[in-house]
Amino acid sequence: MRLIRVFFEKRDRAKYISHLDLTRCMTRAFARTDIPAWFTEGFNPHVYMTFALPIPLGFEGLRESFDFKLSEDGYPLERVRDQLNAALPPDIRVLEAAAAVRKPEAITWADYRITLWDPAGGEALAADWDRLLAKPAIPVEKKTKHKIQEMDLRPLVTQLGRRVEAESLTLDLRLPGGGAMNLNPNLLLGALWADRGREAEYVQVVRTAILTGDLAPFA
Amino acid sequence: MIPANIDRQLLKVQKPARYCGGEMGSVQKDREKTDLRFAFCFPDLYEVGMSHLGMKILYSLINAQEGMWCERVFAPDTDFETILRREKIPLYGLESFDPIRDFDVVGFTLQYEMCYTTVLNMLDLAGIPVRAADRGEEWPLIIGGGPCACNPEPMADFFDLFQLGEGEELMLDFLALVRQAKREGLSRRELLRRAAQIPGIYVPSLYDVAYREDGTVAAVTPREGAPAKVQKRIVKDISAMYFPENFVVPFTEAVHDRAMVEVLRGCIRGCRFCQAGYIYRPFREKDPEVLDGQARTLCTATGYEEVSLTSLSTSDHSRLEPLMEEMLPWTQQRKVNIALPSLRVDNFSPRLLELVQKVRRSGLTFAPEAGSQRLRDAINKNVTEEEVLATARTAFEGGCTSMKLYFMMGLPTETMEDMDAMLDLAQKVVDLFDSLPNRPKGRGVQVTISVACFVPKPHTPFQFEPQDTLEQFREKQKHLLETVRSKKIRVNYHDAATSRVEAILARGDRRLAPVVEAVWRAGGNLEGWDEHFSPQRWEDALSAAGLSGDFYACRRRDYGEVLPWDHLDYGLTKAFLIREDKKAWESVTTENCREKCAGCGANHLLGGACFEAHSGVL
Ligand code: B12
Ligand code: SF4
Repeated sequence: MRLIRVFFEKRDRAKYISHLDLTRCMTRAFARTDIPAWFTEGFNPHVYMTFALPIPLGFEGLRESFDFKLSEDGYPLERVRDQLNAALPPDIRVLEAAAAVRKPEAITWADYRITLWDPAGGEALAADWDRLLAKPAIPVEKKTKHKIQEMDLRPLVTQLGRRVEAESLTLDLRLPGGGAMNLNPNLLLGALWADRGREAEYVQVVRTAILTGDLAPFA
Repeated sequence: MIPANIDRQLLKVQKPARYCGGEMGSVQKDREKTDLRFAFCFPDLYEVGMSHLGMKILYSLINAQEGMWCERVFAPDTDFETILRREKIPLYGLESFDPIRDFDVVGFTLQYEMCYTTVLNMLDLAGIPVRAADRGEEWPLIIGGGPCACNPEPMADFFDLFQLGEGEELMLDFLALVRQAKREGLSRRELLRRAAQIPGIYVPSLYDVAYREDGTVAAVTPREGAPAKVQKRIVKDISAMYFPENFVVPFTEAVHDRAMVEVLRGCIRGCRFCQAGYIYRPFREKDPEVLDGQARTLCTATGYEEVSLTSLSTSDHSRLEPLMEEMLPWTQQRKVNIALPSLRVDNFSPRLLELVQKVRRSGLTFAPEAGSQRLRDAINKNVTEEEVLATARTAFEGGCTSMKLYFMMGLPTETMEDMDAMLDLAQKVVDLFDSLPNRPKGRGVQVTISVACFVPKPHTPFQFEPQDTLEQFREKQKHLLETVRSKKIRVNYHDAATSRVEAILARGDRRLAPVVEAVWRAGGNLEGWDEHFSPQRWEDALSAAGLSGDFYACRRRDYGEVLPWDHLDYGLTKAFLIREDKKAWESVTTENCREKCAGCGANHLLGGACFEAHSGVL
């Protein structure tokens, strides 16, 4: 039995599917192939599959991943990739299947490219964003299962890049990701809307990379 | 790629996956290489329409033709509709995002009367004038099909034509004509005239309907060479009939999210209230080998974990046992579950019962439809109390502690005693449970009786019968609630107002078209959903049109009356329907088609006897 990590991108039409739907889609994709995937045991056996960092509905992902187990150790990994690609809808593409290197707990950061459009224009958006980022603290309320928690987002946000265009603002951000601490960009955007008094007309979020603590791509 | 103007809106709505396609199995084609674009519209939400087998069949069939591209269109929910209207985004096909008003043909499946206003709303969202008379050459042909096409008169003003019966062959004949018309530059008028010559196609604008003073139909007169009667189409050999090798597999869950193979068409039972049991006649089975192959192909292509053996009455397939024997090994090996809806266990061999029990795990439901044996005989529902109790006993002994019984109220010949008999039957099930020494311990039994309001439908023996009035329905519902004593019996019923509108539309005539339009203009849409249905809108529109709901719903039709759908021939003779209605009033049953042919006429569609054993008898 080998633990295999499948890296894939999820774009365009596929960005509107939820995590649950993505899991079901992958399960059925496996059923359309002859990949010898290991099934869970028990009352309702299904392909064992874990997603290290589920991607929220509405986000595109350039290098997402999930793990499964090959019950035939020698099964070629290029075949895993090609078979899955033949069995998946066009907007979900497998980039690579490889033996899992790091444990999912190693995931620490996620990089996002966020593009905001607004009739107010890119300059105005940029001004609003800079004002938010210049604050000593960005307090928000984070709802967890049991309670509402106060937290400060400011120290969690690293800005890697910022591009202003006539109607839009594009931000490259590095945010905490992973089991220990995870910041959904929507929480940060919520703070921006609250601060500027309204939402941008249109937002696109792309998760561009998932990184470990040493800033290496999760492998 | 999702066009930016649509992409910008999708995160603002519930379940955006309904509106952007891209599922596994959805078909992309090159616009440059297609000369015929077809929009298959299901006038209800995505999750409802994606469960419809008819759509899957026709979608694949059309897309299997070179140069033709069929796309899916569903009704948007109200949140997305608001956005579409505000942003002026015309209704589009899920495959290409192109506006369907630019397509050649826009086809609606008419499965349920309460979807009629949704049809108009979808046309309007597409930017297409709803009335056929207001559409010039530049608009797509608007066509309809499906079970409600058996009396499409209330929708006649909105459609260019209807296809009656089964689409697998008829659709291709029709599309060949459309292609030819495009090539030759035929006018719409000429195309419709020629379409009317294709057996199974009904072009309502080629028929004049005259009414009597009392509101009944005087005559329906064809014009321009259209046939006096349009006979529905069937496919004689359904084993050789087209069937898809792949389905679109939705991302987001549908009501029925599974592979389906249709094991048979038609029904031998002849329950007198059931429209499907008549309009899909004659009974035809698919060969087990064909079914097994189709099921395998579909499961491989879709990756579904369940395959359903669908039909109106799956256990009436004469070779279900070999089929199950064939399917069990590979489905178990591939961990695919077999679903068997519509089962009657009365005619099972012990081996078949064993095979079925291996796969069956759904809850226990039973549809006696009527409480007393007398009424069950009147409606020709061939279920006895002993069968209900025997099934309940097996289930309870197997650990089950609840049972659901489906009934109808307002059936022809029904009395209050029949109502009481429903509760008696439920009580007998409760008593049976309590009497079992080996009943599941610790929990009590729960019997739910679910009581629907009877809707008389065209092409059934009860097409002549009045529906109960709202007052009668409500009185009966009240009576039921008052007489139920046991906490172990729960009564479910539906508001009668929906069933009344259903009844009005089911047996309606063309004078209802302005009513449907007025209800839609007053906001009627997605009315199959309780939260969107308003009976008042219908009453208002009817009185504004000077029509009476009772005339359509609660009136007994004389056997000699010209019915609005008499020119649509579903293979059944009126004499047969009259005979069956009379037998209902005498509480006399009719044998099922396999036992003895009742002479309904549908065998003529086959050109021979329905069952080999009967050949030579007719
Ligand atoms: C699967 C199913 C569902 C699914 C999917 C929805 C659907 N309508 O299919 C679910 C579970 C969601 C469902 C819900 C409901 N259903 Co339902 N359902 C069925 C069922 C079992 C099969 C339908 C099917 O796929 N048939 C097989 C295909 C191949 O047949 P077909 O649809 O007739 O299609 C052929 C032709 O008619 C034609 N054709 C069909 N469409 C079109 C369109 C065009 C343009 C053309 C040219 C030709 C064409 O070509 C096809 C191939 O030959 C039927 C019963 C039955 N066995 O027929 C009931 C049935 C359609 N349902 C019915 C009802 C009442 C309901 C509900 C109201 C139940 C409820 N109370 O909520 C809802 C309504 C939802 C809705 N908007 O339709 C009734 C409709 C009665 C009526 N006319 O009023 C039926 C007939 C059951 C019955 N015995 O009464 N249903
Ligand atoms: S012709 Fe006879 S056997 Fe055939 S459907 Fe009619 S009643 Fe049944």
